[in-house]
Amino acid sequence: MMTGAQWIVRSLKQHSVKTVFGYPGGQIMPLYDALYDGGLEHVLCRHEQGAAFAAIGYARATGETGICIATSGPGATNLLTGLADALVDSVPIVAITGQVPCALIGTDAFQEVDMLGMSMGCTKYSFLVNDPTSLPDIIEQAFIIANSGRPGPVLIDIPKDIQLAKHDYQHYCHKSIYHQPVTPAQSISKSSSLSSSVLQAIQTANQMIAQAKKPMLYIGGGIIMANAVAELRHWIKVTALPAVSTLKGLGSLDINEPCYLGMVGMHGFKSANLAVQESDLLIAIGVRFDDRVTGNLNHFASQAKVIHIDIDPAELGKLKQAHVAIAADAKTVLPLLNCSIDITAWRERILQLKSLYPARYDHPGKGIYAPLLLKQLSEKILARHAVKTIVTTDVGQHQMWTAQHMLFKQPNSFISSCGLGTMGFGLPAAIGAQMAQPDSCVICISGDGSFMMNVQELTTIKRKHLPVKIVLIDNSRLGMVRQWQQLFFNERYSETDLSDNPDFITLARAFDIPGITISEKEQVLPAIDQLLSSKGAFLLHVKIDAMENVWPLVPPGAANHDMLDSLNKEDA
Amino acid sequence: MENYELIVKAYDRPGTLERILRVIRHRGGNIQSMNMNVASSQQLLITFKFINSKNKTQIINQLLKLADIVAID
Repeated sequence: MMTGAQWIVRSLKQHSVKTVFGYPGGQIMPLYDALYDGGLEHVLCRHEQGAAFAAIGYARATGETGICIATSGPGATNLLTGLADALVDSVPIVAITGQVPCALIGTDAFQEVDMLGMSMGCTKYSFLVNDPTSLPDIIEQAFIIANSGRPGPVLIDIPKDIQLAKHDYQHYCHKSIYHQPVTPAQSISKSSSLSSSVLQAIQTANQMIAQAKKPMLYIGGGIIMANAVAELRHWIKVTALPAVSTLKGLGSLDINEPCYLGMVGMHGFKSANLAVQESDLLIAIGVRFDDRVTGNLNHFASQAKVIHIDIDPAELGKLKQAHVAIAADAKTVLPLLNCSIDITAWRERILQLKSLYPARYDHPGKGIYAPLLLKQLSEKILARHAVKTIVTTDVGQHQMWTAQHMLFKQPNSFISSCGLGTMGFGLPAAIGAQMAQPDSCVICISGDGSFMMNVQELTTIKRKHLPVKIVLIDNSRLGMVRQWQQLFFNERYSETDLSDNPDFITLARAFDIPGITISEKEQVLPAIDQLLSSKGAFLLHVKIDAMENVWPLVPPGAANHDMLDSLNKEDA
Repeated sequence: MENYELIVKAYDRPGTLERILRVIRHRGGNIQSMNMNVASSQQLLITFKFINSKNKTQIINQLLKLADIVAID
């Protein structure tokens, strides 16, 4: 006999969970009592949203399931943004929330909220445990659903009386209505053998690859989720296929491949976007044809036939109709794809595009140019071969500059809020990644707008003595919105002036985190050295020009070949 | 926009109907009528008639992602 709360802790441990992130409160107290001496490491974040993002950072750094815990009502609703983030970015998360006792559900009790209802749109699945007998099967199913097919977040809402109820829970295993097989859409997994229709589709795809004169690989986060990076790199090594990546796919491709063009899309490099537009075959693997990638979808790779491979059948044909759609695990399919192609002229064109449109770092004046700073940071990181480094970002201009100008050699070395674009993600995600990889160097690159959204998590860094490095790129503006106001809203800068920001160095010092401010180019390299050599947490506060923009940019509604690369449209 | 009918077999669990309706609404389905029966001790049989709705295949694919769904005809 044990309490429901003790069973939860036991179940988490059986699923090899070692670390959980959360915040206690009234209706989750029995679980926190069980955690007190339950053998799991609990990381107290200072806001439930921080706990959810930390769980995402943990999951993305390890490939394991991230766990976050909150109380009922406001604690639970504070998790929702994190769950939505995990849903779009396919991150396996199990969120556990307290709920008012069963008898009070539906009475508008103190801190009661309908979490089952509220969570439906931002989770892969959510459970309300309304009977102790279903608790074991629900926890089991939560882990299965979170990790099966295309991973995602699952919420378990557990009333306080069920957390307290003493039962022989072992006796209830495999007996409830939740003990059911997963649906066909979720059942595609690494262990799945390929159906005859999938094998037929692969054969057709191989014929298309053989015939293509200008094939282009369009790679996304699905490659990393499928643990298929080695297979992908091998295929490219053999074929020398040109490739572009989505934001979430960064780290999956070998940066030394000559025909790798980096990120594609709204802030992708001109060479990457033009190459995709010129291609005659788009081989899309683990991608969603997101609007930030495609620009005007009707004009996206409009001359190309499309092969789309994804583990989620619902993504196939959702936005772009593929000529061949393959619903399967990328790790299984990649070794079966054609290696015999002859595209010498196309490769030369790719190299020509690369040389025509290189990233530029010549910037007038003494002030710090963020792209150059990030390039220099990246070079310093790459030079430290022995140190595994993970970069997290927040959302905005600094995020795009990071994606453009830093090179990521390994999967899971770049963790960002890609699909949802959630400001406030970077700092707690860095905490999660650092907890998962204590020996790694974890660097959070943030902006002054994003940083303030979950700044309370500096206390979590202090509490756990985490050596998280923070690069705060400060333009005293809500930079990306300001840029759009400049370009598309007649320079009407509505509520994007953040020049009343706090003194960030003093703020960090309040959490025992040392830091320095730099504002001139010549200060950059010594400051990066100081940051990277710091034993503990460190804040590098970088003041940049408020009017610096992210280039290139595909304007909303435009085709990707119509990108702007300066304020003067004639220069584009 | 098209008119069509879907017959959904799903596990009878708390929130099953709500989840199905949410997916249909979010993905652009426009329900003209529906009928739900308890098919067995653990399963529901729900018939939806759609009018002027978005792509049928898309709605089926999104519904199949729900852990409650047994089959869709």
